[in-house]
Amino acid sequence: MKHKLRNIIAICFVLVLLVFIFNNVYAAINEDTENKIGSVAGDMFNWILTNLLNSAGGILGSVIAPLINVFSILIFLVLYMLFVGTGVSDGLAFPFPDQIVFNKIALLDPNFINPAEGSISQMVGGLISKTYYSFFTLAITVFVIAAMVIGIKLAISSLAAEKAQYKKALNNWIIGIVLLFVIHYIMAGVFYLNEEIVKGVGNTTEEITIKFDALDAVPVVGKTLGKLVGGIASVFGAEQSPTVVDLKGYGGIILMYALKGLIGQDLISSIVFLIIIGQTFGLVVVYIKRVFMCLILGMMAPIVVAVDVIKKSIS
Amino acid sequence: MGKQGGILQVWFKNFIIIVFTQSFHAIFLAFIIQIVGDISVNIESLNFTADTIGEAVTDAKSEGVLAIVSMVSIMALIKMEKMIKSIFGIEDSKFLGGVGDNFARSMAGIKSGVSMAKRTAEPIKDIKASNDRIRKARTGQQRAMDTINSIGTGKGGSGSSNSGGSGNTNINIDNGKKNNKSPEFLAGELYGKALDAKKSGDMDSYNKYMKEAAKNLKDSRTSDRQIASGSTSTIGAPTIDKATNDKISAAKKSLQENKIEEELAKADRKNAAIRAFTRAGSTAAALAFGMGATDNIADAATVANLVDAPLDVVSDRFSAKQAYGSAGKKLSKDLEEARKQAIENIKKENPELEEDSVEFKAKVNVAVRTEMDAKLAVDSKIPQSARKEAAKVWKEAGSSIKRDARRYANDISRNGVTYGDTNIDDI
Repeated sequence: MKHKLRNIIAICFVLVLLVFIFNNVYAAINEDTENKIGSVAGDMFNWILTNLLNSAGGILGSVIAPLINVFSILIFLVLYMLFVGTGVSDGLAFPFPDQIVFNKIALLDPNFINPAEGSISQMVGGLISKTYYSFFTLAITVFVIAAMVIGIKLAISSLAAEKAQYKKALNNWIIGIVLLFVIHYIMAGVFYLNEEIVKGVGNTTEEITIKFDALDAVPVVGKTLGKLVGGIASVFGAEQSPTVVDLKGYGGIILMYALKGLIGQDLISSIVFLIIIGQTFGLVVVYIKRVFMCLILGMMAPIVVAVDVIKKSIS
Repeated sequence: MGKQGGILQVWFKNFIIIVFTQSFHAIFLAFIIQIVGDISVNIESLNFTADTIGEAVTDAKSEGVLAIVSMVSIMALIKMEKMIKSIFGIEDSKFLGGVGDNFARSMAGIKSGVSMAKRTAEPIKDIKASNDRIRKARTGQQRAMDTINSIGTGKGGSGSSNSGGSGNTNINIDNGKKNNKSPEFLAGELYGKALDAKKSGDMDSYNKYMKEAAKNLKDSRTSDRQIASGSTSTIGAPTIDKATNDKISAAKKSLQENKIEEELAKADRKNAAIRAFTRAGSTAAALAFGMGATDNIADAATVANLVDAPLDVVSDRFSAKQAYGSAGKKLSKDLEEARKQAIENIKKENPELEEDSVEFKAKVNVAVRTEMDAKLAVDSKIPQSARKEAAKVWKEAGSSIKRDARRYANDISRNGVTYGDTNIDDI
């Protein structure tokens, strides 16, 4: 009886597995509850409602889109003035998200050991090096005092357990002093590794383009016109519609929504443009914050090593 | 490194994460750019094929996906740092605005939200207040008109006051016939005649008219002094019903003030309506920006509030210029109408005067100037942001009139009649 039950369960399990393997039900939508009316009147109602909503959206868009565009332009100008207007970057290196992330904006480069031309690290380089060497000297002083204390304690201690403890402290001290002298090489290595990864990944996106039909920016008739031109061009055997342009990277995406929103007065594009430009602003803030965090952590490094050694020696 | 625990380990972890976050960002963004590129190719291929012309639904869906992917990916980038830190077990530091004090952050968010809501609702309150002011001003005008009409039909006006003013102040000037003219009015009339006589070379008549004018002015001053001292008896001059005169003056003044008040309230209402629209728009835009720049609603509200406040100042200036600028233009139009009305009234009152005579012109100038001065008072109530616009309108409308009036005053002064510029309205 027990065996039978086990066999039945095993067969059921295998069957269930087979059903799952041959019928992919994991990501299917539930068509039974899909919003379908299923009658001529219902379809007509659906059509009228859709068109009404689209028209309302269009009318609303033509009123609200210009207002939203004003704010987008303001944020864009703030970023422009911050980077290009102040001369810290050229016009090509505007802080678009990909330019920031792929390390093409010198200002946002956190590498203070080999700072890029025009970076924050280079601007405050003098201060950083002075502070670093001050902390380094202080750390050396701490290490010397620690060495003296450990040495004296080791000399005067008579118990084996105590001696072992001070020897351990001495080991920590040796590791600490080595670390103190190599820590900036470690930091340089970390920066180098990061830069190489970013450069490698950035290069893979060089060839990727975002296709944008310039006619999409024409209000009202742009899309239909674009389709017509595309259709005619394909009849004549062209590989691409003559009005389609290839844009690159996130700057291309932003430019695409900016054109649709500003010239085409398309509400959705205006909102997307505003949100993306707002997010770009946020990303700029995150990366500026990152630069300062790196600078502070870098300057603190000698002191951190020294304090760590003392803490361990005391404990 | 393994033995180096404690603060050095925390420092090292933080440093590694902060630096390598960029690598994670780069990998993620490269992936996203690949997706976005594929979607855009898909959209354009739909546009391109002749068979798919009209497949707008698929196109719109792809565009929607493109927009969502573009927006969400940067949001994910910003959030990624936190995620990586939590994977490596690093607590976010409170240093440099890190996450930490949720309560304070939420409170700041709520406070910012309330502040934004208050600012957005403020113009709606102003619209209501402006409507109340308009209603009150209209009631005031009606009351003043009733007073003027009752005096006009019952006792008749004195005709001594300026006949200019707006169309509404067209009081029964004809009742103030020549027999009942005030000494000031006669003085002005005689002075005009004297100048006309001088022009035609009849110096005898000129001297006669000037003497008469001077006599009337003297009578007027004596009369004024006596009225001021409480004695109502007048010497030689035609009888003036001072109480009626005062009543009409007060009613006219009230009418004028209420009219100005109505125009101002209308301008305020328009300003508030534009502000309501622009402030709602700026709040929505600031919130969208806040959501884009931060990763949660509390921070978004705080950032949005910071952005919204200066945006409101800018948009308020814009709406004030729109509202008060058009109010200034409207008042300028009123002024032109007042000028026409003044000419009609003076013609009716003085049919013997020729339109190009000095006296006629002077009377028109004085009447219109009085009207303009009353309206100029509006300028002082207009906010600073809109004053420039209003001042420009007033300058265009009023400079020639003012110049003529001053010239006339100087002319009188040169001819021995001691009327100053400021008293010219008394004529």
